[in-house]
Amino acid sequence: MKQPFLKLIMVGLSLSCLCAAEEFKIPAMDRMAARAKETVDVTLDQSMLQLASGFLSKDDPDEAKVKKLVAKLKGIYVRSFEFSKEGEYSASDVEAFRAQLKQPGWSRIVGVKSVNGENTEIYVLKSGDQLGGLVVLAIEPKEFTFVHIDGPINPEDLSELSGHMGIPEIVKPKAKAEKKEE
Amino acid sequence: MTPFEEDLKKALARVEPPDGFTERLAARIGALPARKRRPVYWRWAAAAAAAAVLFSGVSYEHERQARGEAAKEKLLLAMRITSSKLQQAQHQIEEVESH
Repeated sequence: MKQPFLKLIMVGLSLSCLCAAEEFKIPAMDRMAARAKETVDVTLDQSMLQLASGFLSKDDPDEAKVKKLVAKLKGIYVRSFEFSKEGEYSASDVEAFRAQLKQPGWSRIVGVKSVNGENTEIYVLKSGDQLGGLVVLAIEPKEFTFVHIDGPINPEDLSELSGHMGIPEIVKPKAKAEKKEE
Repeated sequence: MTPFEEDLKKALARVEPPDGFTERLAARIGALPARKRRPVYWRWAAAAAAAAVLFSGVSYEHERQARGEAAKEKLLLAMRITSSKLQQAQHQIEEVESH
């Protein structure tokens, strides 16, 4: 009688472990880090986000926006490598990483390839009607950046932060057109 | 004087102590064990323990503050990078659309 219950607990535990280990891995990360001129490695799990959020002021409107944005998030992971010359990482390194984004639920919503080799890909994890996660891959000749926002996120909320606290301002096409008219 | 008052007077009359009372009393007091005084090092130990508790509390709070500030800086850095890469994607899309 107890066995099905135990199995259920085991399945639950293994599922919770899978969720906890949601962070993507960059297979060639150590090699890329060794060759990089600059490396940014940000790992903020839920407890760190809560800690960071506690140090954001409610009275400061900008910080309050970030506080609200991260309130429901489970984690933020950023890896960025800047190289002094081209060819420090291969297409297969990127492909090995990209393969992880082929798991169920994830879909690519943006894929831009530019002539100067600056490619950007945006992936989202659909969770019901809302987004359950966001991955941004910026693949450039001398730079590789990966951002994973784990948890419900609205990209528009991110754009609201632009232009504040050192976050670059995102100029919307309409605003751009208006500026041109001026 | 009433009988009651007479009884009271008798009861409260001065009575000299028996011979040798003072000596016996002094001897008994001398035979009592001396009152133990708490050693001085206990006070130092208590003060040191209180100082240690205070110090660990202050250093824990200091460490928490430092960790929180570092986490906040990391969060803002992550937001900057994410926002900048989203902006880059937007510019690239605009460039593609304009061609």
